[in-house]
Amino acid sequence: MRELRWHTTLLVTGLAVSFPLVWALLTSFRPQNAIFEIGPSPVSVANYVDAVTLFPIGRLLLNSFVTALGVTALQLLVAVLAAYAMLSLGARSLRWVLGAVTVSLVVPLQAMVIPQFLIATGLGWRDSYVGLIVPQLASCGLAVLLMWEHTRSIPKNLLGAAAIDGARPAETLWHLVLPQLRPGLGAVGILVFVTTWNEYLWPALIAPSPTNTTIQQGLALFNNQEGGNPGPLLAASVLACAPVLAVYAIFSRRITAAFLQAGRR
Amino acid sequence: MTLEKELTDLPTAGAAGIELRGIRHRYGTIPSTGALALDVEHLAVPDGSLSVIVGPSGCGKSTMLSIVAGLLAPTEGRVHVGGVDVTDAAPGARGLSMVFQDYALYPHLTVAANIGFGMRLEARHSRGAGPGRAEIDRRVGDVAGQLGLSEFLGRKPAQLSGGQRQRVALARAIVRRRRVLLLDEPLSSLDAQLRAQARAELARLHRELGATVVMVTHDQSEALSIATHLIVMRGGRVVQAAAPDEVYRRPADEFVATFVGSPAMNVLEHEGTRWGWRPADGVVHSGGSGTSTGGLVLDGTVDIVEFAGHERLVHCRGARNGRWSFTEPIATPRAVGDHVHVLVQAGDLHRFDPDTGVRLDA
Repeated sequence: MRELRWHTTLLVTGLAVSFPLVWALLTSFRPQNAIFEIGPSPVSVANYVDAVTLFPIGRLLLNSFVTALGVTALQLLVAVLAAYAMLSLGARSLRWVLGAVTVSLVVPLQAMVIPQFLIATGLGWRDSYVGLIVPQLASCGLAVLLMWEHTRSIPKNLLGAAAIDGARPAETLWHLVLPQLRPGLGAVGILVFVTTWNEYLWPALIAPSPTNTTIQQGLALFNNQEGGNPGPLLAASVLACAPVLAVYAIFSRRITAAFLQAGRR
Repeated sequence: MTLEKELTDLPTAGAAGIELRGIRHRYGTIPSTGALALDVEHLAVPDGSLSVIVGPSGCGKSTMLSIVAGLLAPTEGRVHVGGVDVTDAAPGARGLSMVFQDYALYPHLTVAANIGFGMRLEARHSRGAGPGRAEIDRRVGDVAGQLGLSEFLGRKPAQLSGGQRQRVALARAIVRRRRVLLLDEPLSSLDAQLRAQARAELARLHRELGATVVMVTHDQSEALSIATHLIVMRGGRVVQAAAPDEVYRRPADEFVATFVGSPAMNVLEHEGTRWGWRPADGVVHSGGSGTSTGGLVLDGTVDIVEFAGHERLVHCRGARNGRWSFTEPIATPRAVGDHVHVLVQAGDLHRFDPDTGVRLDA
């Protein structure tokens, strides 16, 4: 009985979560004149053809990919270096650093976006990958915290053994800490990648031109120029979701394992 | 641990003594108020000795080892290795190696890479002057052969048994021929049978390495059996540091007397002094109380009889003074409830100050 209730809850939740996605996916394959109908209709790829031919979808996806990959790589680099440095802090300094990092998570992005935008513009970073990537490093607090959780669980004696073997701090990091962090790097990397991929506000500000922006901001183009063309918009949305869904599908087991592991510590 | 081949054919770097001067260590963030975990005015570990630091858990023995290794910076004091002040030197620059209690093997590296890790770093740091690839492989192979690890060189630590991991940790520590080898409870995670064997092998390894070996243990019988120099600690202080038989025969205070040696020494309060005697020194005395020559005669009733192979340990309730025990040959008939007189010769008695516990007949 308990099990039945449990499964019913899971089923309802699952359906509720996946309904919009499935709806968008199915509708995107309808003919353009049947978008708002409900009954069965013939399968058509016209929306996809429109999306790909009328809009720079390929370019937008590439921009998103480069941005997300760049932000992920740099955030991981910062997070690993920060977490490794935190290992050698005393208890009191560590509390301060962790406090500061946590505060950075609480401040909403919107509160800082205007000064950030002014600085980035002043540096001439509009409509560039640098402008898309570098300012998004400011939100690396979560990555630092998660990476710290993985790093602090490395046995102290392992670091001691490396020190006695004559390893310098950078060598300990490279030969010992990084290999131990591999599952953590994967999990945190995927999280940062997906978050960055889905980011809308910053790309809209820093890279407004149609060919230099990311796919999320690019989706807005469909509304602006065509006065609302839901068919190609849905097709483009599906294409925008696809990479994220693919990442989850491929790594789902590792993601779950890595987060469970981090939570248990 | 089985040494399949003698280690004497390997080149030795010699041994180095260790000296601690005024070492104090406090844990906690505020140095002046934190608890004093270690307070050692002066301690010398003799050059080439197998020194065993023994004490109850929390006595500071592992802290002391970490300070010698350089993994922990002391709040105060200086550490000397081989006559050189190494207090500010990095762990890798102190000319020592260490086996950790949990072995601390690099989990992602093979046995061969674990053993050769230090030498590979050395080669990189010295830019060609250090051991070459062939030299490293040869030395890893040699040590692995001597410790019976040759067939495991390609395995990861997770694929090894506890005893094998312990040997890998040992191989990693001895492959570079350092002058000092530190062992932090190296036998504690082995089962009892393997431990007895490993203990004997450690003593032999010490002889063949020709290095100073410092081992930490909480097991006093392990300490007594292999040490050439015994350091007894309690509450962050060194209570006695001497040859094991000296510690056994002339314990510095009542704590050492009751901590070292098994079965534990009896201690009774009598005429304003604390008197100690080992259970093995008590002899059942049948002829009343006439033959006392400055010794001690005790009357008691047998309470518990423990069988110990060729002898037995008899626990008694004393007629006047507390509880005590003595050993006697198994051939003597003995039953619970027997009334016994036990004589301890004057030369076998230890006297301790009733207030400080310090040995009196110094």
